[in-house]
Amino acid sequence: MEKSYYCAEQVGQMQATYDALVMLKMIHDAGCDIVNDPINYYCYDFGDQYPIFIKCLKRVFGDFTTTFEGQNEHWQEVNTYRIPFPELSHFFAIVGSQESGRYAAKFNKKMKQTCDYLEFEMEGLVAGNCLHITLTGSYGILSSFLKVLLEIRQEVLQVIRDHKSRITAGARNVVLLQMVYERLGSVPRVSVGDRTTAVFSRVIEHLGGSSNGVDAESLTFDEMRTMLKDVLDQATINRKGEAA
Amino acid sequence: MRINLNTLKEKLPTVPMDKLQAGEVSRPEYLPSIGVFRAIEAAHEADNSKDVDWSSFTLAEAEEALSHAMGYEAYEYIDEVDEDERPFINRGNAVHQYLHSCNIIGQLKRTAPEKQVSEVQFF
Repeated sequence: MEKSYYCAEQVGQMQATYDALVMLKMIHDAGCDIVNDPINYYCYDFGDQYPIFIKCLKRVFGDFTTTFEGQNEHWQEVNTYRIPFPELSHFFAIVGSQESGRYAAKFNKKMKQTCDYLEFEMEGLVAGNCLHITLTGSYGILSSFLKVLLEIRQEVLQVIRDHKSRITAGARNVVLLQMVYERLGSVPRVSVGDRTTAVFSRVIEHLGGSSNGVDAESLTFDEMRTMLKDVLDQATINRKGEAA
Repeated sequence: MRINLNTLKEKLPTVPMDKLQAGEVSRPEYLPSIGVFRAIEAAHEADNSKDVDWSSFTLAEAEEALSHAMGYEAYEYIDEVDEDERPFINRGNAVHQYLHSCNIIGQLKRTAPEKQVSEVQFF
C-alpha cells in the first residue's frame, strides 16, 4: 500500500477543494440553490477557495462591500468587508435595547475565529443593519469562518420568525374570539398570546361543542373557522331552544 | 470509474466503539461513516455543485472529510520521518483509503482491458 498518493502541491489543491466543498454544503443547507445556479468548486491551488468564500457570502447575504484591502503593521494581509444584513435592525427592535447589547457582544465574540491550521483569523463587529468582518492573513481554512456567519444569520432569522409567528397566532386568536363575541355577546377567558390550536380547543370546549375526534393541531386556520361557525350555529340554536 | 462506497465501507475493518474509547485500539482504525466517503467522492469526482448529491452527506460529515484532507501527508513528508514511523503515515485516513481503493481498481482495470466498461461492478 502506498504511503501517500499526492505530492505537497496536490495536497494543497485537495485541501482547498474540500474547504470549498464544505462551504457549498453550508450554503446549500442554508437554502441557496447551488444545483440550478451552480458554483465550480475545484481549486487549482491552496487559496483558490477565497473567491468561493466571497461567492458564498454574496449568495447568502446579497452583494457586499470591500471596505479595506491592505496590510497591517506586521505585514499581514488584511481584508475588511461590510456584509449587509438588514434583518438585524428588525431583530434588535424585537429583542429590545437591553438584550440588543448582550446579543451584539455574543455575536462579536462568536465572529472572533482563528484557523486551526494556518496563521489566519477573522474578527467581526455587528452594526445596526450589517456585519463588518476583517480577515487577517493570506491563507487559511474559510469554512469555519463562514459557518459562524451562517449560525448568526440563522439565530437572527429564527428570532424574527418566532416573533412573526406569535403575531400571526395572536391575530388569529382575536379573529376566533371576535366570531364568538359577535354571535353570543361574550367570550371565554383565554390568553390571546397562546397558541391558536389551544385557544380554538378552549373555545370549542366552552361552547360545549365537539371537534369530532379531529386533532386541532392538524387543522388549518380556515378549517378551524368553519368548525367554529358550525359549533356557534348549534350553540345559537340550543340557546333559542332553551329560551323558548 | 465509480466505487461502490457501500461495499467499500463493508470491507473496511470495524472497531467496536468501547474498544476505541478504552484505547485498546489505535485511533487510525476508527471507521468513518458512509457520508464521509460520499463527501470525499464529491471532492474528487466532481468539480461543479450541480453534479453533487448534497443530501448524500451531512455538514458534519463534510467537515469530517475536510479534517481527513487536512491531515493528509504528502509523499515528500515520508522521507522526513523516521523509518519506524513511516508505516503509520496516512494510516486510517479516510481520504487515503478512498485514494487507495481508486488506485487498486485502476490497476485491476489495466490488468483486464477487455472489461474496461463503465458497467463493471467493483467490490
